[in-house]
Amino acid sequence: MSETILDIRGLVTAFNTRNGAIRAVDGISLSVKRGTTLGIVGESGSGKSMLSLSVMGLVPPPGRIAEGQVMFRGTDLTKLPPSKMRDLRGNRISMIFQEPMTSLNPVHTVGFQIVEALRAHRKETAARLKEEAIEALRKVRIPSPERRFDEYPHQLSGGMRQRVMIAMALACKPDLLIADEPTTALDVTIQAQILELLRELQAETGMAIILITHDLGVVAQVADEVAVMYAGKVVERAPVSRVFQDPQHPYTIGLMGSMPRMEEDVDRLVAISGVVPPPFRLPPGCRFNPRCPFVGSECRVEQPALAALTDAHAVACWKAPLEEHV
Amino acid sequence: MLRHTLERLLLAVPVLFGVLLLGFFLMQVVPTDPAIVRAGPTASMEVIEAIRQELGLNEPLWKQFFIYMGRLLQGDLGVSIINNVPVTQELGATIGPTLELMLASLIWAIPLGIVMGTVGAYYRGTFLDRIIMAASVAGVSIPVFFLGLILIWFLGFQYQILPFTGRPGPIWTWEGFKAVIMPAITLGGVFVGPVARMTRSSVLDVLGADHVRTARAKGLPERTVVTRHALRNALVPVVTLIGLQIGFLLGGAVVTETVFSWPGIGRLAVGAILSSDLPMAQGTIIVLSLGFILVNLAVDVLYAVLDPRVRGA
Ligand SMILES: Nc1ncnc2c1ncn2[C@@H]1O[C@H](COP(=O)(O)OP(=O)(O)OP(=O)(O)O)[C@@H](O)[C@H]1O
Ligand code: SF4
Ligand SMILES: [Mg+2]
Repeated sequence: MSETILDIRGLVTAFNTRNGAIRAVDGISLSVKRGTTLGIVGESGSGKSMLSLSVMGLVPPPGRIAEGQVMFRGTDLTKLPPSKMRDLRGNRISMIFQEPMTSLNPVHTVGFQIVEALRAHRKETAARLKEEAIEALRKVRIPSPERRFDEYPHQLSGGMRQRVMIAMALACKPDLLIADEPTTALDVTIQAQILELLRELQAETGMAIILITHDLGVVAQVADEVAVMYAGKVVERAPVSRVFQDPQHPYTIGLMGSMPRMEEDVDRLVAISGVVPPPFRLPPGCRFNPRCPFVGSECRVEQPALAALTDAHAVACWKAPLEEHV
Repeated sequence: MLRHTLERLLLAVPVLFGVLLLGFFLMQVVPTDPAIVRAGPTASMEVIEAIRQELGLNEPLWKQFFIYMGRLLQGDLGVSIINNVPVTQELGATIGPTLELMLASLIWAIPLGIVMGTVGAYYRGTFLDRIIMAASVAGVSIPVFFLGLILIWFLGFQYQILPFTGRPGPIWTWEGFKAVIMPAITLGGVFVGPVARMTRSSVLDVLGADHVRTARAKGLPERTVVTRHALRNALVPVVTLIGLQIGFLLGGAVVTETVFSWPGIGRLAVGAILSSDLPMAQGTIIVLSLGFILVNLAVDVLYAVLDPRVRGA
């Protein structure tokens, strides 16, 4: 059994607003092992980015981690003083973001920005840092990295910029990479290339990856495990193959839209209408009930907890396992 | 980079021509006849006519303009109507003190404004932020001469700490240094506020940008995040503002020099205008406009230094 790199336990990230404290992340527990990829899926507003920023210790104020633990290789990150957290950030835990166009600073060269990431965590000579930065660019398959080193972000395409972001994030060889929708802004071919690159780099370094996306296709391509998020909660968690063979939560099924099971039941082919409710206007009971085709009276009263169906498969739904009801 | 600079230089040429043209027409539209001023109140018609001939005032307008441009190109701006000293000589003597005053004002006002604005933006909404913003608003609303007079009253008369009139020597002498302090506080004082407010809003914008989040994700210390990734980017609009405000600063220099009897070009301009010394007034206006053009040129170039996207790959 390989080492558990990250173990999130009962994490709550809240914002104090005029409407009271809202929980963008509401009691999430997840873990990732070395060398594996956890895919997190969910529509816009389900709290995926807040979850990853919580792990990074970068929740924007007035947000804060209100409850729970983020255990990173045995240390609780939520208890770490800022300077210790900074030592880990970009070093042991790295993050790449959705917007390659704006995530790099336009006024500094690509090379400088990678060197800067290295220098924050390593004491080495300028010449050595430059070498390492060029090596990092080479690793992400950027052609003629020596030349690119001195270029500015605006001189690169979106795909190239995302490669630079990855080079920067991986420069210190982290144990964990959080990729928040790394390919959403890119076109399909580039998207496939970037995902392939991530997989190769993972095989090489053995890092754990949390891949955030709203695209189940991306998850199918690279993840080992999937967690489906809805309105700040995990509603289903299982190995990838399991989720695609036997999705149990109505929301997961909805996300799959047109991915029918073998012994198909027409009722399970639903596309979800509506949107994720904002955290300050959650319905009573199951948060998915206004959009759920399987909704029953109990669903409007009490929230279902995430419960294990099998060892690896957990679902938060009153009707699970679904076969008994349809 | 070089191309950008040359382009800007080329663009400055028509502006410069416009300024010179304006300087020329200024002489035409002012109702005072320079020949009469030159000749003095008791002169006879013949003398005035002779002076007219000498100054070329009887020639057609276009010819006068060519004469004027020709003389300008040779660095000849005519002589003062009041004391017969060549205008260029007076300008040469006053330009140094004015540059000195400007420099002494900007050298503390710009950094202070930038620091205040950055601190305000970083601690936005806090008590500290409010104090800084209140101070900068106060700085904007106090008229230059009023600040100067208050300083003169307290530091000059009441406590006699600093001299407040004239310029005993260049800035690198002790006496000269002491003399420039109060004018520089006065002139710089009105500049801090706008710079601080512009910096604050600009840094505030950048602090929310994605690349700042990236910088934090790299594990950089906050100080580096703010200076290298927020302020550095925010400087582009701040530099533009400073360039635009230089014109305003030139106006402030005129007042400051007058209040502190500072022998600069601003005071020369006021004196020349008040005594209808047209060649002198024209000379000062040309020099002040030239200064304005040069500053804007510098801003354009600096713009490219600060923002690689402007340089053109
Ligand atoms: N500054 C804030 N104040 C209050 N609520 C916030 C703030 N920032 C985010 N939220 C809330 O957190 C919730 C989750 O946002 P988050 O960005 O994590 O969603 P997401 O799943 O990443 O969506 P997307 O796919 O659009 O990136 C949102 O519904 C939003 O209401
Ligand atoms: S608990 Fe009820 S409403 Fe919620 S997903 Fe399950 S069936 Fe639908
Ligand atoms: Mg997001």
